[in-house]
Amino acid sequence: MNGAHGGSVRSLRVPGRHGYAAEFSPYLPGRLACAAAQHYGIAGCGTLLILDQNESGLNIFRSFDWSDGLFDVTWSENNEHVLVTCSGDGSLQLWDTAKATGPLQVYKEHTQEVYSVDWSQTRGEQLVVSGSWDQTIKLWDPTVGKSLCTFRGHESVIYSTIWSPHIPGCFASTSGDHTLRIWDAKTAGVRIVVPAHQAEILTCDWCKYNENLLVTGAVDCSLRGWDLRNIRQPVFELLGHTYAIRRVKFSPFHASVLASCSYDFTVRFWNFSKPDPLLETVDHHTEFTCGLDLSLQSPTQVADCAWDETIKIYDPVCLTVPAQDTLLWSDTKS
Amino acid sequence: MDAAGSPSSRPAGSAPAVMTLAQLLQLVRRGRQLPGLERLQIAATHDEPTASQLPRRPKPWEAAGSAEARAPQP
Repeated sequence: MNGAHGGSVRSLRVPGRHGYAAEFSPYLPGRLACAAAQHYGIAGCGTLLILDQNESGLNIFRSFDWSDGLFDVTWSENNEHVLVTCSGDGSLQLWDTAKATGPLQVYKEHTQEVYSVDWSQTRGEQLVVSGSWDQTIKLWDPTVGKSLCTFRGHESVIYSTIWSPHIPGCFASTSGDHTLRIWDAKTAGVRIVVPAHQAEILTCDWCKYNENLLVTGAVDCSLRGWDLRNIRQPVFELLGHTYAIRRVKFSPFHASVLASCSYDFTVRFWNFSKPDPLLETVDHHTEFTCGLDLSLQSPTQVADCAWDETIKIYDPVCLTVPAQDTLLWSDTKS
Repeated sequence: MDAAGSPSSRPAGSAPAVMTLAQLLQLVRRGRQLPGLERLQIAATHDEPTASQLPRRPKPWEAAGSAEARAPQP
């Protein structure tokens, strides 16, 4: 099952740019945004790539440069043209795919690298949350030039900030302080602190079919599932990665399926409800794999990007030929 | 390749150098100039965003929980 694909792999190499994040458009099937940095994000500039896939492969629709490395990107949920990125110089940038010149706005408040941005997922809210190495989280209305609120509490750098897909005003964060924290934007306070690993936690995500379930991925190579109603111990643990886990995403279509990418160069697909949860290991990069997303339009399509300067879109076998006992999208209705 | 040993032979703005992370970190530790380092000065345009013309698509999990049709497959 190593490196197998259900279909052709669409691949694009962008010389001199190391991929940090890949995100499918919530509007346009096959459109992908990739946040990248020169020199592995250690020095130099950054680039936001807007890619379209077609029969001939993966093509650059637009390329935007920024003065510093770009570490994360999120698409607007109320305008198909708009995206937000974050960068090593402590700023956030608002971009418009229909306007080729520069960012529309730049928001500079964080005092160190901003490692994560996320646009709210629940209807009726259009907010962006950002997490920084300055140990703060900031809440933004992109139509307002200043942040609405700053959340303090983490005792080390913040790597990940992700909105709940179900609970309005609720988001999760993970940090070098070994904790997962759940925050309420309405009260500007922390709701739950989970000492989730005994290591730095680089990533987390929310289950799309259970509002109380999250997964964390850490430098200890493990993924752990957390039920917010009882945080004393994880509800599952997934072992297999051999270096730090950089990003994890729950499937938008399968209740118990998730994907993770790692500094071990691999992307792994898991079904935490199975006795043997590792579904597939995709080993098609030659450097740290940092960006990962599962399509909202196609139940089988995945995008990833790595420090080997390549971005790939593919259909892993485990999603194209699901096992009989895999809980499929269609089964979740019952 | 020899990028770590001869960074000065590569003028800024030339084709991007292929360097491993280890080679790059070695240059940084030695305080050497990094090959191909791009220093850009980019400012906000303060334009308004292009008006949206597409309706919000229901997420797969929203479609599953309602009477709405499934998101169409490409």
